[in-house]
Amino acid sequence: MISDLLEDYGLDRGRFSLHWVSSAEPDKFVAAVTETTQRVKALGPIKDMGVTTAMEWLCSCSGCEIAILNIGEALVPIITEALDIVHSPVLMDHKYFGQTGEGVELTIPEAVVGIVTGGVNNTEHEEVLHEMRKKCQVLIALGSCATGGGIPALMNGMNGVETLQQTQETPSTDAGATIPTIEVPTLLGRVYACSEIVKVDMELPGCPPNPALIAEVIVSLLENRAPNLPTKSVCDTCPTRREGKGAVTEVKRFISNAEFDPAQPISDMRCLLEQGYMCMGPVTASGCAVGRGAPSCIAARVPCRGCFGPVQGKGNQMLDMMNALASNGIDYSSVVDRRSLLRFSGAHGNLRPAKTK
Amino acid sequence: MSFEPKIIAFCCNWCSYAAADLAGTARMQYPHNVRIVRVMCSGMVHPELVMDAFQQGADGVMVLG
Amino acid sequence: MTLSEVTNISGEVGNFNVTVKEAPRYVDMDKCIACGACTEKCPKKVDSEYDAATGKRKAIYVKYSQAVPLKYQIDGSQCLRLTAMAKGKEKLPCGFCEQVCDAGAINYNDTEKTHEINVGAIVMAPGFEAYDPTNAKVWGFGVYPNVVTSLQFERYLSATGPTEGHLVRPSDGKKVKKVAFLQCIGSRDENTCGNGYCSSVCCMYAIKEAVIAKAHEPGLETSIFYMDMRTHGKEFDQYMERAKNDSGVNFIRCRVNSVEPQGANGDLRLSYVNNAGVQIEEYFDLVVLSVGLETPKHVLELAEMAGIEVTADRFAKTKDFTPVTTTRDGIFTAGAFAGPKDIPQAVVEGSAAAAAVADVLAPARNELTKEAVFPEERNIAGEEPKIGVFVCHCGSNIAGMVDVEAVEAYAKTLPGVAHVERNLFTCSQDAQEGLAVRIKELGLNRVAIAACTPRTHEPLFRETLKSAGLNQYLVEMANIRNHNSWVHDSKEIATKKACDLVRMAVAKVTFSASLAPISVPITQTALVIGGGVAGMTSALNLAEQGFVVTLVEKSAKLGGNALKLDHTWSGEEVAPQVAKLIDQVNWNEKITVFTETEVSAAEGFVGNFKTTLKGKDGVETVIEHGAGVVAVGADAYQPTEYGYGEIAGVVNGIDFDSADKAGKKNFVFIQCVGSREEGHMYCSKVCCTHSVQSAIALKKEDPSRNVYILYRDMRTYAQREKLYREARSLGVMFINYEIHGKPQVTKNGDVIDVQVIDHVLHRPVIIKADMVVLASGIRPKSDFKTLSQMYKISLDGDGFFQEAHAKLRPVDFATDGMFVAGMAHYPKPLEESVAQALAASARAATLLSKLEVTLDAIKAQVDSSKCDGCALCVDVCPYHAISLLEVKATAEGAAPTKVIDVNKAKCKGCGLCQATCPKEGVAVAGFTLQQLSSQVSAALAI
Repeated sequence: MISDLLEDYGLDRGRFSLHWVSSAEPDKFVAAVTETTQRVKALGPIKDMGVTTAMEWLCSCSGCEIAILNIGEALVPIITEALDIVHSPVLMDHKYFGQTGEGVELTIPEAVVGIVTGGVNNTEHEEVLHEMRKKCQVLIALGSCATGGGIPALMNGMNGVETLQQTQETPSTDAGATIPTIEVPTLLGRVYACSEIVKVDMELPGCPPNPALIAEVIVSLLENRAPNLPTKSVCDTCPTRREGKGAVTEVKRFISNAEFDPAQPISDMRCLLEQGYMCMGPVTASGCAVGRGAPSCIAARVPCRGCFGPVQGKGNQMLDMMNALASNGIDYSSVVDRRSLLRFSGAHGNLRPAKTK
Repeated sequence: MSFEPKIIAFCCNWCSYAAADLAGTARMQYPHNVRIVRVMCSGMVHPELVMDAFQQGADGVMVLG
Repeated sequence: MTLSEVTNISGEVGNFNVTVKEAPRYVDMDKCIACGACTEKCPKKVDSEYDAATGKRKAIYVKYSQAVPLKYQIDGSQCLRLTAMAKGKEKLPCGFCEQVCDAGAINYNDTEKTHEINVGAIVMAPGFEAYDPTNAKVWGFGVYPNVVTSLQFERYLSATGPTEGHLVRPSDGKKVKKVAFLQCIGSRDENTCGNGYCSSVCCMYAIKEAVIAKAHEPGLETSIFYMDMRTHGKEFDQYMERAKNDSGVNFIRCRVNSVEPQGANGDLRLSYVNNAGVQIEEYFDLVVLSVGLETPKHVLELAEMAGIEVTADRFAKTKDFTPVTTTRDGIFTAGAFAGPKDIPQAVVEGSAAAAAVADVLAPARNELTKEAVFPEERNIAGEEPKIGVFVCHCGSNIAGMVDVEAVEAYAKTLPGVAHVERNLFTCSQDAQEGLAVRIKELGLNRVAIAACTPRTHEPLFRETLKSAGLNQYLVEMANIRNHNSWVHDSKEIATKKACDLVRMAVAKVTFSASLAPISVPITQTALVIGGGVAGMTSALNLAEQGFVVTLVEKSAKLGGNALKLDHTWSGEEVAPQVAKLIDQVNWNEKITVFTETEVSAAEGFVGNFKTTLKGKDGVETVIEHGAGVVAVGADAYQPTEYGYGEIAGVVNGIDFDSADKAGKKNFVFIQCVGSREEGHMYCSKVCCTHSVQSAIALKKEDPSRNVYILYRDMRTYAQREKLYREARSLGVMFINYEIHGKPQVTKNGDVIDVQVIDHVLHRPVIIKADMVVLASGIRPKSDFKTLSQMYKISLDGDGFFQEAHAKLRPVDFATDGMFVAGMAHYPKPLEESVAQALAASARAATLLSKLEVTLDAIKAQVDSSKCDGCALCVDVCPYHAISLLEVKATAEGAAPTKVIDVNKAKCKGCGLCQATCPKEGVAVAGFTLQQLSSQVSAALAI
């Protein structure tokens, strides 16, 4: 599994090896070490391993903004009394270079709280984000794009040139189409999470984020206390019945219905992973269940898609899930397109161009 | 200068770590590139540790059980 | 005490005086650090006993690299200096070892010492010697260099052997292409060597060597020449089948009488009759003699001096119901001295002897034990790391290759390091005391030792920390000797690597925390399941040792399968012994017997089991017990073949014992009925001996009777061989058949026709029999599975209970606190069941004799702030130590959450859970992800 995953990270599989050496086999030990050293030497140094700090800006679909609206009635006192919104392109016309275009530098007014949605995909996003950081005392990354790259970061699985060619120059595009170069901010080649570009004070993932939690974050700031946010995984909030994963040998796609009795509550349904479905609950941050009693997808009797990103913000949903499956004797290769498990968390270097075999 | 890779080897306390001790007793020479991290069982090695090692600049990783 | 022998035993049980003569080692064991510098310098080479003379050793040496204690010794008869000293010469030669020993361990003036020891009981386990075929000429051993013994061959196959595991001919170094193994060399052979018995182990080891040799050298041809393949041990027949079918080892049933040279180039010629009856001449590169086991002369002298009797085959005499008790009260025996046997049975007897001794010495338990006292432990929580680094020179072992001063200087620059010092030998007594002083003086709260391997020295440093009032887990070792100075030859590289290793150790210990010892209270009672001979023996021994025992029997009567047996193989009557055993059990006030009762439920773990017993009347009793012995026996196979149940006169072996044989003349025994065939590929072990015994009785009663035994391999192993000899001399006819040509049994009027292919005539013969006796095998019971699930103890592929380790832990289960004995484990004769039962009680008693077990603190710990009860780790745990708990919601209205719980008594600290958890919710103390990751970071830091 590790060797396969290494290739997902653009590394040679030969860089990892597993050996069985008993305590009475120093010769085998020496042979393994010698052989591995020679092999790695032959492979040469790893090139471009680190996350290169190239940058980009708010690549968002406005779903997070709708989630803010979905706070509902509670939003009214927040925006009418508690908050004074000084800058919000989605709500009001506010020019970056002065209202008449007189400025020469991109400027955003100073504020105490900054909320950023979307990841960083091009030089404009990057510039705006730096300006936000400069002007805001508390910077909040809202939604899975801002915290982990989100759906746009799926492009991180290919290299930048390929992406552009695929979207601009494939036979399905109009004849003679070319990649625009003028008046368009340059793409950075991959999508970054905000925290990869600037220091972020608070992260609230979700696609979309849970309105109740957005409200909690804002209210806690107003009350000058730490927000009460979930720190564990979706399973923590999942009421389904768990009996052990021992019987599952492979996972299946969710193209058939899970087994459950519609008349009975969710807590009567067996854990979907234990039913053999690819449920990402164990490796996904919780939050969707707040105010709903059960994780939102599970409440719909559908496996978790992983939209809140990794638990505690620093895990790797694919790696952790593969490992969890493999450790339980579940055939990890039964997962169709495992790299898609990074569909909400492709930034932070999690999703990279695969080593082509 | 020739390339000297850095290799992390996770060795089980009961098997391969003991074998490495014995290799020492027998004065068997082997490449110096390996740095051994002792674990109580090779099954203890979390894949994150392996990936982490590569992230931090390892050129190769071995798990010896 | 090593290099020691017993020269006299006086006194009696409970008060023996033993005189022990300790030969001089000429090396101070307290000082020797086994660096090997002396051996390197020693100029005198002699044949290595360990390599069976295939290789050389020096006059100062360790017998083999895993030797315990790992201390060197000087062979006084070979050492140049010592021999000169013995001759009284004035000018003494050599002395190199003394010069190179940095530890100052060499003492040429060491002398023989005599010790007088007072003991209550004695166990004699002096083992065996391999038969030496040198004087027997016929096989050319010692004449033709390419004839070797199996022990020598074993060394040739070993990576640490004389050829580093390459199979080459001793004569010319030519690669070996064809090997012949000759079985029964020094066994089952009264003519050449007077060893009439079967050595029991050679068939199996020959197969093993053949398979391993083939794995070493692809294309190698291996042939085993045998009389009967005696692979009667657990899972041995399966191994033989794999050797035949998968590895392609040839098996030829023929005893080859001599080995001849073919030409001058070292080839060897064997003449034999092949399985089809054709005379063949074949050439081999190498002939391996599968030498048997025998009791060495000095052991026989020891036995005579100890006043214990030996059998005609020169093994210690024991009785079947007391298989480890010699003829002298208070002296016990174990292993090959009590009859040729393999490792598992020897280990079983070792434990059994301990049980027998414990029975004798029970009143004196713990009288002589002393407890060490340590100062109160300092709480270091919240303190900034203050690490002391101690760099060991190990004489010149480290300092010779590593610039230790540079390492010292480097260590001082590392974060958190408060003190660095160097020692010539950090493990020496004075350095240890110095270390304790430094800890107290400087208030160090963590220690890194740059020296040798933690596998041998960590316990020592832990003790030192304890004596300095610091938690024992706050030490980490950097192995700059075994993993560095000994394996690299550039001082520059070794020094750099030493610095790296120190940095890694410092990084890890920085994150070390004080770990509290874990102790689990023990319920000092036992439950024995099964009231047969094994169960009763086990229960009785535990009770004699002072433990309260509950004995559960499913049927209405104690006794089990033994109730159906007349005699043991050696002729002892069974019934009176079983009656005596039942009586002793019933009258023992520490034993509570439940008959017509079954185990209906069980829970708990080592020291704390709770078992529910259900009687025939449905009444349930809950028993709390610290240990459990599973001795539930096995079933006899009820044949469906050979007309059993249809043809009158076709009976099974047990029924035959009590059948009316009067007036009957012709008897046919058919062996391996329901054994050693597809689906039941194991030997039932007792049937050959039983049939031969019955045949002897028939012949003795009326010599005019015709008795035939149709067999596949006669497995009258060990000293049972004498029965086989006796049967043949009485005129019992033995006819070999193969699995593909099973006998056919048909009714023919008043008689029964048995048709079988005769192995000599190679044509079918028909025997007209009055009675046909089916030696039906032994099968696991149908309820093994339920029991295995209740106690989480596993079954093997054949359906018998699976021990923790086939060789080294033959009565333990992988589940701590549960033990197995008797036929529930594998078919076996009565005396082996008794030995295993005693072994099980010895193993249980070591547990039950304590009020609590203290466990290593290296266990999985749950971080409840991170664990969310996703249960991914539950089934991953190989020890079933993890369970899922529901935690009541703290806030009102909130849903309850789930979290895992690790049972510390079951956890072995392997960390599979840690490697599975996606959110660092569980980690093994002392090896947390943070600690390992800090080591990795440190390793890659430069």
